[in-house]
Amino acid sequence: MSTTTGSSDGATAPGARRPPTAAIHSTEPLPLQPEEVAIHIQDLQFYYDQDAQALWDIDLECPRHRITALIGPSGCGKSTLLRCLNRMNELIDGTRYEGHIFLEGTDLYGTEVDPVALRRHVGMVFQKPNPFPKSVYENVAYGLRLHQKLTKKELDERVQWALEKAHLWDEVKDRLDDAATGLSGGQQQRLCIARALAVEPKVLLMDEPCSALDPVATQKIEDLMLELKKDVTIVIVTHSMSQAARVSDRTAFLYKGKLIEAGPTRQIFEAPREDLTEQYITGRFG
Amino acid sequence: MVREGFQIEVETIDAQVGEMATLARGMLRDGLQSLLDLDREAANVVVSRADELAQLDEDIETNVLSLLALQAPVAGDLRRMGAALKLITYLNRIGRYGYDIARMTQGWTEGLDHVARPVYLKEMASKVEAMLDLVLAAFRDHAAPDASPLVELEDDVDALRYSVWRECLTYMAQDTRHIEPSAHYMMVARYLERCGDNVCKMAEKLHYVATGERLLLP
Ligand SMILES: Nc1ncnc2c1ncn2[C@@H]1O[C@H](COP(=O)(O)OP(=O)(O)OP(=O)(O)O)[C@@H](O)[C@H]1O
Ligand SMILES: [Mg+2]
Repeated sequence: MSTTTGSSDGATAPGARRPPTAAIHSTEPLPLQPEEVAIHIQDLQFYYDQDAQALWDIDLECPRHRITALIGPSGCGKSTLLRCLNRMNELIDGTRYEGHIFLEGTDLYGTEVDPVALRRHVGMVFQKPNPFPKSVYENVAYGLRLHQKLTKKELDERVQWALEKAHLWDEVKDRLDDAATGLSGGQQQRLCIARALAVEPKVLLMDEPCSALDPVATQKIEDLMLELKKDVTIVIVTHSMSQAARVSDRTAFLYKGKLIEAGPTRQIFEAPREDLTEQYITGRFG
Repeated sequence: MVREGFQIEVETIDAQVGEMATLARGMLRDGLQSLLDLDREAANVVVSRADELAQLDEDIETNVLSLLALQAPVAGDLRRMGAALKLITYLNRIGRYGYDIARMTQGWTEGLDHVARPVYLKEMASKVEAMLDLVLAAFRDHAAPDASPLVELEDDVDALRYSVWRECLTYMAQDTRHIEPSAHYMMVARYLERCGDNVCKMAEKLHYVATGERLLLP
């Protein structure tokens, strides 16, 4: 490098040849630091029954207060993986897993972990908004009553707090006693988010939360996610490549039950390392 | 879901970049030849092609921008489109250097002869063309250009530039009538050296397109 002088108007002296080596700046992403990791999935295998393995050798880390997107073709195991994170798959008979999932250092499948208490820390929002057939207020208050003893005033405050967090308060503050099913799809989805947030979870799992919504309602949920990640770690399943690219910090690509590649979203969408990832995100699959 | 329309648009842009490369390379070669031959006719032709060069630059930029806006390409497609925007800037410079040399031919004092046959300039130009060919072949093949012959050629170009410079100093010291042509030679040598640099920059961009890794040539 020291011999490459004279680039402007003095000519390079003859014989001062540079070594013909080029430097390659690897775009290999830096690994996450242990202290940034909120969820650590280690060598996870998951079976719906004896001969129906759905996930193979999953190793994945989700950073705290960031959004991790799970992408991949239909049936690749995104929802299955998401449901492993709050032990919802256990509700299905005959399922079995191997490996570990650590949430803030605690093994979720450890014997001392109560799955019901766990689901307070790991909230979930589904593809189709699924409010209870109750009032707007009750939808949010229900989970709070289940987990905590609160006075009426405390409960009112927490309901308002959660609805504000979910950017829904202004739209429903005058109709808290109306049936939740009377809200629009986008409002119902934000109500489900408020319901999940009310118990102050550490993690929010979202399984295609916008697939039933129009672009405006989708935009509202995306804005909301970016704000919520200040307080919670979010894992989202999405079929929209552009949504994953817009909102997530990290992206994991699953294919046929295996994790093909995970990394910073920018890297996955600009310079993926695996051909399969490239084929999938550029729409050249199969 | 293979996006056919998208593929066609990418191929159109690729073809336009190829066309611009051919034009720029031709302008550089013909511009220099016009000076070596002191052929005004040939210089006029080169100068007249500058509009075409500018038009291609603008058309490609427009096409890339609309593809980015409408198709939101990712991964290799995104890198190739990003590189296209840079490549046309480098190609534009190379073509413009050919234009500048042709303008020198046009402005050459009537009746003034060459000091000597400027062989080094010719040699520099053929090395720059060889570099350009290497890089353009990589662009066509969607491959990373081979760095080591490029670096070697570029070193040769740099060394030749020094030879021109040294030679011109002696000409100018010999006879004041040599000053005008020698000043032109020194300028042309400088342009050709810049062209070599531009080709190396193109190689770096194409390396990123092909591999996703950043290459920094020495
Ligand atoms: N309850 C179940 N019992 C048995 N097999 C199941 C069950 N749920 C999912 N599977 C199977 O597990 C695999 C992964 O399914 P999963 O629903 O996790 O995929 P996905 O990536 O979420 O797909 P989609 O994008 O269509 O929602 C599939 O082969 C599916 O058939
Ligand atoms: Mg699913």
